[in-house]
Amino acid sequence: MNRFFLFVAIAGLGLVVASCSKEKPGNMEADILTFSIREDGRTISVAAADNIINYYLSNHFEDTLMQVLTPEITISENATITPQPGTPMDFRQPVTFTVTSQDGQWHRTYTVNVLNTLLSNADFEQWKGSGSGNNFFETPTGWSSANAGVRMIHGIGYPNVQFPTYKTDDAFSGNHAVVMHTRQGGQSSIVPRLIAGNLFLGYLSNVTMQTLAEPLRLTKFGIPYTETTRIPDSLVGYLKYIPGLEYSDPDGNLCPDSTDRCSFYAVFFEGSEPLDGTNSQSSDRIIALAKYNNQMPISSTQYTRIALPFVYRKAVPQGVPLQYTIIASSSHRGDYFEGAADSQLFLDKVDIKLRNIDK
Amino acid sequence: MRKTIILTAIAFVLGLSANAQTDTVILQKRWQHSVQLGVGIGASSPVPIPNRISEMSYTPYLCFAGGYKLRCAIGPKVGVKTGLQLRHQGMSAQAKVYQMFTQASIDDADVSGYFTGYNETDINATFISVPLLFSFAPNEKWTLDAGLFAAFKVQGHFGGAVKDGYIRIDTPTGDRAEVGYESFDFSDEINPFNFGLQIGAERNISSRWSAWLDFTWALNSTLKSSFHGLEYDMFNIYGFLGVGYRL
Repeated sequence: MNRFFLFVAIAGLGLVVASCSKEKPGNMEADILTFSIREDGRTISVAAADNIINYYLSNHFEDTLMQVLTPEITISENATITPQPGTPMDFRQPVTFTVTSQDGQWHRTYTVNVLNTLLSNADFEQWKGSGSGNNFFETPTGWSSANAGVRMIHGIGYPNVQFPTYKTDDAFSGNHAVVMHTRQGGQSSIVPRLIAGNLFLGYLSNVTMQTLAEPLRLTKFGIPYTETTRIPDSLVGYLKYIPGLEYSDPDGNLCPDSTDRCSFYAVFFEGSEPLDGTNSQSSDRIIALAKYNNQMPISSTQYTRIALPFVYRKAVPQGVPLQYTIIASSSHRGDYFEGAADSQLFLDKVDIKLRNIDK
Repeated sequence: MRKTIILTAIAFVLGLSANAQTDTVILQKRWQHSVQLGVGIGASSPVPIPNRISEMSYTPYLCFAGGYKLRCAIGPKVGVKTGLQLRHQGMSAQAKVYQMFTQASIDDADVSGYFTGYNETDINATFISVPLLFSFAPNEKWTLDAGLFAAFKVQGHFGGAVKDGYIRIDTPTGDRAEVGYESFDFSDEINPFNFGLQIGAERNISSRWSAWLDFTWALNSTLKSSFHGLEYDMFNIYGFLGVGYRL
């Protein structure tokens, strides 16, 4: 009897030993983790959701130098990348990198935009697509939106939520403008009830299951402010706004007396860390803020020029990194799940006017 | 591994034969009815364990089984055994997993993709099992049994959590979501029917009492074949020992 039990135990042990003797499987990931330009020195981390990397140079580079910038890239463990970083490349145009996983089965293609000017593609003429099928969306080069967060919402069982930020031919100038369109979301605590369209200068951080329901921390605002002799004076843009019909509060109750509003503002701030949705108007790092606050009406049928002065809260500090961002959204309280579905903000031809520091 | 099992079977047959004594005439009865009670342990496990699982710790639950067993003698040394056994099967396991395909439910949202991190699984299920065994009696004291079993689920829980890691949604290059702690419940996906191999032995202690032992290895998966939340099949592997009382 005991002997039999012992044999069964040994047989079981043999099973476990036989199954543990294998080596670790090959890595299936194929991500760019960080990106840097050696001649510039700044390193940015790349969220897994991004296929487009916007690298804003923190110093001004002449066109001839833009042809010989050296990318330095870290990728997933044991993955491979082409073309090989570490050698000078021409970044006057976007450069495409392809990462292949260790097991050779998985690939990711990244478009890298190295941007040399304070404000890039502010007329929204250049767009880059990412994803395919139901997950396809476009982003204007140099800008970011929360569309990647919506792609993740597709991945967790809500494939019908539409992307809130997209391209339109109904432009003020040129061929294209941006539409931010507040969408109906889900009913769970994970998927927000309302998803406002947005557009900003900065990047989207890695998503957690918690932050999906808390979009304020997803959006990281700020790109380097590279001007040394001038400071922001005003924010200008051409806007058209169609508020949605049914305004509801964060609990989903209809508020018949309320009308949705858009948000459009720019922040000039100090420090190398980004701002996020929780502190983009309140951080003590803010030097100046230019904000649309219903000062003037915006037409729903034609583009209205909006000019907003930067209101300075303190003197521009010396010897610290400076950043700025421009943020627009189709529902100004969308971060708090408040607003009206189908509110639409059209935006084109954004500009930051500068003035000399002395004036 | 098959070799290990065969060697084990041969060894135990030889080992037990050495103990053989003849002092009762129980086995000469054509029909023998007995009620049985026992305890056991086991696991639901992929076979072999995939190399995407490491740092595994496993806690078997003490499982209880009880039922009725019938032996019909065909010849002086051979017979057929069947019966009806209510058996509980359960275990918990913790493991570190690396890019393993899985599913987790968060509220009403289903997330599937490649998870890296820690996994906890807890299984508790009750089956009614019907064995059909060829029974060999080398002597008056022992019977050695081998055959098949069919088991029907009475109730079952198959749940757990993924934690301290991240999931790549849909594909290993998909969107990445950090996971702090998210539970999953595959209880509805437990296969209602299980079948497989069973071997066992029974030793007569007195004219009424016996001690028994059996070992079952399911050949179909613990979870329904229509379920794709795990990329591998898991098999119920359990051993029980107990006492029987002849009616």
